[in-house]
Amino acid sequence: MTRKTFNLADAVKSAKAHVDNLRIRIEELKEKRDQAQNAPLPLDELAPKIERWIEAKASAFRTGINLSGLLNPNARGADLTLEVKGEPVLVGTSYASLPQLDGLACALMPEKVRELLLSIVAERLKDVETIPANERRKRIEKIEQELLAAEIEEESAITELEAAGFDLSRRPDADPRAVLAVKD
Amino acid sequence: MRYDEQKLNRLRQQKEAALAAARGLSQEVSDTNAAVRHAENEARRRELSPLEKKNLDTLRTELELLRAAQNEAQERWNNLGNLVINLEGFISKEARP
Repeated sequence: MTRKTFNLADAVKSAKAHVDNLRIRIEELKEKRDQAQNAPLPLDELAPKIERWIEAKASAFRTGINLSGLLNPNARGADLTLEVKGEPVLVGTSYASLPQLDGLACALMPEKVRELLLSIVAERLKDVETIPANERRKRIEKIEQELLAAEIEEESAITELEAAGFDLSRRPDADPRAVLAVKD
Repeated sequence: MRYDEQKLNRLRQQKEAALAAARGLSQEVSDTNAAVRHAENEARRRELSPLEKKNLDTLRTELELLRAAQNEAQERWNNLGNLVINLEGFISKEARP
């Protein structure tokens, strides 16, 4: 009789340890999924993005530059003043105002900006896992399948413990598909 | 895929039971705490007998145990509450046409 009780206690301990291990695995898989979601693109896929960024900055600079002071025929000196009823009225303080300097750099020397950015990005990506765009979805799906399988196994272990009269709390963020799925 | 809504109902019931347990323990903590405070006031007014001192120690231990049990029951209720919200949200999304 004593022997039987001892075995039951061992079985429960082992089942709880199994759930603990599954929970560690679940956390690891969630972390792996986060990494896959946030891993940067490889350099060859980032280069066209950098190119588009440079073009957009240069274009915004060209259209955003304020030349009103320079183009106004009544402008004088460093300050923009207008004659109003024979009296000079200060309406601006310079001929032109430059928008963002990054736009100026992109408009003046796009090759140098590109070269600089690519070298910075290459340096930052050293020792960092990158994932090509067409692989990311597949990788995340595979991790999510493993995650669901681990959660289903966890729920099954909890249900078995419950059936044996032992209560083990479920995680509040458990996957509902794992908790509520009906086995056919 | 089919989902076990009876299981969700069982978890709802467990949540209610956990709430009732947490409330019951809260009342016990409150009563025991009042008894400890009363005995401590008594001890400030006069010398307690050895039996009264022993009873006070027992009450203090009981209060600690009750507080721990209350915290545990509260945590269980919180966990079950959040789990049920999670499952109900999922079921209502699944049921949406």
